[in-house]
Amino acid sequence: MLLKLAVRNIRRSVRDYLIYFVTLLFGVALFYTFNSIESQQVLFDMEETASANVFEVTQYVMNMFSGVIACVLGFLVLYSNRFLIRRRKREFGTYEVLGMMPSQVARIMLYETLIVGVASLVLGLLLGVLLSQGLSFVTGAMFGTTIKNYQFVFSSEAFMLTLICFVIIFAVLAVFNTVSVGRYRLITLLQAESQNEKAPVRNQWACLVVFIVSIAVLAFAYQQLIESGMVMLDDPRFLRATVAMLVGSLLFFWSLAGFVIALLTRLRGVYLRGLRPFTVRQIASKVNTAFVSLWAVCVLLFFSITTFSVGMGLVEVFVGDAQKANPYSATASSNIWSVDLQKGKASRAMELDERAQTLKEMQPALYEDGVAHDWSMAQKLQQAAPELWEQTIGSYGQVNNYEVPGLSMGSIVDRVDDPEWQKSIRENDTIAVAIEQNVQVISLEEFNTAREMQGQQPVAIGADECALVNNMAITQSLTEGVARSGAVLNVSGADLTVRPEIYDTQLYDSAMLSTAFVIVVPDEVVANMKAAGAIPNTSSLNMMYADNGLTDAENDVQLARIVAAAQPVGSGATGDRSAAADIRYGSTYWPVNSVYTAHEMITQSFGLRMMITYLALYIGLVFLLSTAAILAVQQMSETVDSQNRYRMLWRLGCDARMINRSLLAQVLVYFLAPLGLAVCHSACAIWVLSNVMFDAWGVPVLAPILMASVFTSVIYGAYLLITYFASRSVLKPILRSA
Amino acid sequence: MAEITVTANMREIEGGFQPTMPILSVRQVEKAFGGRDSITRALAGVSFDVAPGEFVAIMGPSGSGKTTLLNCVATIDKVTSGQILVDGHDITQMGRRQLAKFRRDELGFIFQDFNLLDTLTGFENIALGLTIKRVSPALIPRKVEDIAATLGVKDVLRKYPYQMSGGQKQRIAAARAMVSDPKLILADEPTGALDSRSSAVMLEMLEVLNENLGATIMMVTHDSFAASFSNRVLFLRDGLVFNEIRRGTMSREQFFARIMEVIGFLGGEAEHAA
Ligand SMILES: Nc1ncnc2c1ncn2[C@@H]1O[C@H](COP(=O)(O)OP(=O)(O)OP(=O)(O)O)[C@@H](O)[C@H]1O
Ligand SMILES: [Mg+2]
Repeated sequence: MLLKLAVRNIRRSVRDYLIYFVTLLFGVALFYTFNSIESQQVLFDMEETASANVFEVTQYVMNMFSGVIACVLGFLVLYSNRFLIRRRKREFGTYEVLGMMPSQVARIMLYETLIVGVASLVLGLLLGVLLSQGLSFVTGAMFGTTIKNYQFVFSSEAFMLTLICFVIIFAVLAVFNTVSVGRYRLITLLQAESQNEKAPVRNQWACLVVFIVSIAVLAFAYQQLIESGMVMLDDPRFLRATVAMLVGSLLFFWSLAGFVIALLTRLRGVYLRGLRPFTVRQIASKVNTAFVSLWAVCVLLFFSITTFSVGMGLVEVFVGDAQKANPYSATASSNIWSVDLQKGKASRAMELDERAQTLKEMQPALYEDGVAHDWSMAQKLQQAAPELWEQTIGSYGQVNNYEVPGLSMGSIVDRVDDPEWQKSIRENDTIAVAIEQNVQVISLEEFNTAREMQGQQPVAIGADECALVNNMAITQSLTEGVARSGAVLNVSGADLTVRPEIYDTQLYDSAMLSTAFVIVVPDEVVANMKAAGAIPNTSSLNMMYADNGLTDAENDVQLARIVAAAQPVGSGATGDRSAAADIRYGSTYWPVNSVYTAHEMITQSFGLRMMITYLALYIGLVFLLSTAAILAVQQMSETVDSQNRYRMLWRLGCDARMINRSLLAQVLVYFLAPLGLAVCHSACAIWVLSNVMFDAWGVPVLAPILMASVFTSVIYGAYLLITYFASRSVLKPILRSA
Repeated sequence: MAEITVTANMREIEGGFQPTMPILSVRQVEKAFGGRDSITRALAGVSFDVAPGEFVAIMGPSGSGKTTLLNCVATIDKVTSGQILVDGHDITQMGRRQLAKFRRDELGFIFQDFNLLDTLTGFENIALGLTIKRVSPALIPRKVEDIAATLGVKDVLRKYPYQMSGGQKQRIAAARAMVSDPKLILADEPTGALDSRSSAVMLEMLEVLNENLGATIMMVTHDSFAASFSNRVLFLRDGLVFNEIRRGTMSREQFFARIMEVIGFLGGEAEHAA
């Protein structure tokens, strides 16, 4: 009997349940989707552990956040449920008048909760399974591959996790409902519909003053934020900006309604039209009572929009150019003039053979070995494992960087006749760190070999010319200025005119585009430097794998074996480095102390991208959902509480159209006010960050911002419409005549 | 007691009104509340006409159907059967939007219960009667202040309903009903919460509206003094028009005495019945 009543109740108040239902549905779906990421890996070629790891790590992080998300969703469910009880207090009262026991009423409520809960759980899981299929295509796109053997993916772990989590939430909800319905006194249940408490009316002048103060505080926050540049999060200006933003926003919502009323009541031509006075007062009374929630919603929105956009932007910084940054199958690098040797030595060499002398003194065996092979890494490696080398390496080319004693970046900057540009370079903190270092040069031959390996046209320069190579955003302006100036550089006695072109060749595999102001000089210049006793500061051996039928991952293993053969662990022959103890081979200064392979780098960057992207999506979406649901519930309660006012309007001759328009205006303002302020805050924060960080790294933030706005519009739009239509249906019986 | 029971067809002979078409014609209106088990017949076939420019008072014991009658005329309630013609149009057959427009444009109300919007100031409550009729905003402040001055509530225009006394609320509600110069004013106990002085002001105001502006007024009241301002008093009992007396050429004091007489008679009869 009670069950039947419950079913009938739900059917009757479908629209009331809509917000609750939709929130649960989306919550369950998101929860399942983001907890099922690991199961996607079956769709991709995961023959080696490195890539499988990517999914595991991402899943691990997602699971960690799922705890927090579960609490947020639990809170949301309780919150929306409160509205349902409130809306139906009178009905419950009637049941009790009709002789039902409070426990029976609580049972009806429990059944209703259960029915709606189970329905949304089932549908939510279905939606989640569908969404996670869609997500695997997104994963594929991030991976840069398409899914070849598509199959339906279902994650039983995610399914169980979702089930357990929501069963707990429902259990809490059931207890909560039983207690709260049982606790209501009959009289309060029956009086529920009599007028609500009088809305606080604030002094207009106080509001005016506070509003102006809040704007000033927010302006101060923005100014501090812009000044701090958001580089260091422990910057006191950043702290001040945060506090000012929080306080300013709170004052803003406290005074907003009063201020708008003070303004509008003076603009009578605008104010005294149709239902406007009513609409404005209605919004004002709601904003005045709920200013703390609006504030919280605004802050949450600000955080989610900012973290989402910035997170997605950061992904681009870290991994956006992974393909371009790794044009070679692998790069073995050697820091011949390494950090260890630099201890107690001048950071700038003054003589051409200064580095060679130091190395000879400190690492004689290594020095001898290097000289014996003329510093050719390929030669050394090939000797160590000739068959493996033959089988694995298709083509190769070494790039040697030579330091030019006495030619610092700063001295080149001084030679350029453009004071404004000089000032901007000198003021750039990132460049300032390196500006007094000597510049490095590479030979034209090595440069052209590197270009050829990645399919670029070779470059020709005259005997008294040099060319600049750069692909890092940070040093782009520096390089451009020097290239433009056509300055003459003295490289170890040769006067070389800088050519106007800038080449963007990546000179070795790396996590990001990392060619920073390198000078290409004619081969004779380098030959002369070597003749005068110069050794390379660093060398990179770029290799392309042979077409041997092996996968990239298998070739990576082969390469590691070649390197290990050349410098076995503990061999001591070339001097072991403690810092490199955890590397697969006994790393030294020479021939190899690190190996980057394109496959490894791209997989890693993919993993990072997947993790940050999904985390930003997960958190961003759940926050959006929460704020939208809170606003929706509040606006619905407001409509329910205001029924008498609408009845009054109806009696005065307002038809459904006028009232619905007023309702729409109320819903719009209530949803858009916190969103508007949050968007202002986010715009400021993102603008600052993009000036400081993204510009420097050359990353466009437009795409993540667009994505954030699409998500916001869809979720907000959905809740806005649901709220509007549900509010309309609350008023329908009133407007249909009493 | 024959002279007390005045029937509709005797009216033209006795009354001082022109035999024009009635502005309001209530014909055999019945109204029943409730479901299958318990039916209350609030109106049991009420018929009467109101001529343009008439000021009609409706009296009767509590629960006799006065508010129900007023609500039916105001199109807030639907009749169960019968017709209500306003200006010859049957409002019981109108569509929802037509009804809203009718209420907005032709009627002014003063209700017995929740009259004012609690979120709006006195000024805005009165102005609402004009804004929803799309009156030009430039004209509104003047009109609102004039009517508030007439009703003596100029100094509460900036207050919210919860800051007003019951009488002030009632007068603000009256001001809202009158501010748009409606054809037909419906008032349910407009003097219920007022002291005698304020009552007199309110009633004189209604009288002015009636005499000078030609507004037709239908007023429910318990108060014989208030009823004596009208041209005609209808007595309702158990959902029927039980009796009707007209002022004719009587002075207000004479009419008052007459009303008291009828009430005394009704009371006596009620006692007999009990
Ligand atoms: N919505 C309703 N549902 C059921 N019965 C109603 C409803 N409204 C009025 N009634 C009944 O109809 C009858 C007439 O009520 P009405 O409000 O018209 O009386 P009234 O003459 O205005 O009384 P009072 O002088 O006390 O205001 C009463 O018996 C009342 O109980
Ligand atoms: Mg009544």
